[in-house]
Amino acid sequence: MSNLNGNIYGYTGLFPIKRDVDCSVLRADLRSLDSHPFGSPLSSIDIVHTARLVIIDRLPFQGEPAKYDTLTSAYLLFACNFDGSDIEELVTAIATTIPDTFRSLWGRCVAVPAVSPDPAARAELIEYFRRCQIRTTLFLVDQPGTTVKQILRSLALTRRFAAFVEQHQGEDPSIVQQRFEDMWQAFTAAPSPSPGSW
Amino acid sequence: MADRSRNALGLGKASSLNVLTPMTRVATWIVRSSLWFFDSCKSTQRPAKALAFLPFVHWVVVGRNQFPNLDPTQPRERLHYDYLLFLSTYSGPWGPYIEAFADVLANPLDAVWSWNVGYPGARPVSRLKAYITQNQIESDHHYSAYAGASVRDVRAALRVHRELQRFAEETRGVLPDQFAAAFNRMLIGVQNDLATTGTVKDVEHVSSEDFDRTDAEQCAVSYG
Repeated sequence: MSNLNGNIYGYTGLFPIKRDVDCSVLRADLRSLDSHPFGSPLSSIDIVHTARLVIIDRLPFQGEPAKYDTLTSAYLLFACNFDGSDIEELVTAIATTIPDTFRSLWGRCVAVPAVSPDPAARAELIEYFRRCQIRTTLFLVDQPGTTVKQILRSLALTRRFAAFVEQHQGEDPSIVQQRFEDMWQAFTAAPSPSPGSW
Repeated sequence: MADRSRNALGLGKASSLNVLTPMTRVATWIVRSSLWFFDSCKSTQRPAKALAFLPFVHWVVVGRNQFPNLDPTQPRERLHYDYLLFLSTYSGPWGPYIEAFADVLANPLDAVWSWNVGYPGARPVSRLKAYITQNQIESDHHYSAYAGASVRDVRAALRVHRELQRFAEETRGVLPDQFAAAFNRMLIGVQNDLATTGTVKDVEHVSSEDFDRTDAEQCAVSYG
């Protein structure tokens, strides 16, 4: 199960791009995705740790006497690490959260199915991702048991606690105790930071 | 620059590295077996984890017939080689990353990549860098949900969270003096994990209103 490490799924997919698509235009569109306020439209999907999109339109040549390989199609490489155990969770999140982004990017790929709330269409989309999936042979994860939400909350707590220590140094223990309880309650009640905000 | 992820505040710490290298048929079988071994025996991954700058790494073998063909109008690929995709997310600059990789993981790297066409070996590192540069494909988009935090930042934050959770439960309702003693003990334990995280902008405590993306890029470049 190399696609899975702990609670994190590592998806790697190669999506053939239609032959009449100008890859330089698609590349420019991909490179403009990070103008999103949180770094990517994918930040709307709260299970995604990291993701990358890469156009592969030629293969590296190692020089003579190696042989020269050329691709007949260009491919859109999509690699994504997310909280979950199957790509169904990721594809469902993409289809429901960022359907327009999906249409504008994957719409330039071969045989892409329609994005719609209809269960049959959803099943077709999941199947499309499976057909384009290349099994990850070795998948290394530093924190395999930790979700995006847990990491973001821990980062926020660390910052909050560092400020607390700075602010309350040398104060009376009863005040520090009261302030700590206030801080802890505020933290537990606070929503998680948005993905991409950190 | 697209290799480096952005967040709401500008450029983050997480970068991506994509390397695609050719292999012969026999080599593919050996590489697949080696990777399967490294994947199955998690203890072999300890040196890579000890480097503490690799949140995610994918090694993917793409057979010459594995390039997806989804439509009769799409011509089939006719390739001489299989390919090995190395997809890594790392924190920090490219040069020291490759150097540390070659220094600590020379044997596992050689065990996998030495079966690839043209691989010069992990040492000396200058030749490895040239090989990676030649076969590297820049990401067109890279996203990280916590781009401003390195692997060490994440590990530290998770430790702080665990400790504070335990401390909050254990000190609920105790007397102020007991609280102070426990607080000091806890603080000594976590103080090294309280370093400021985030992008350069955060470190300098500049408000987002007077700090635009261009400034963030300049700072990120200046400070590496």
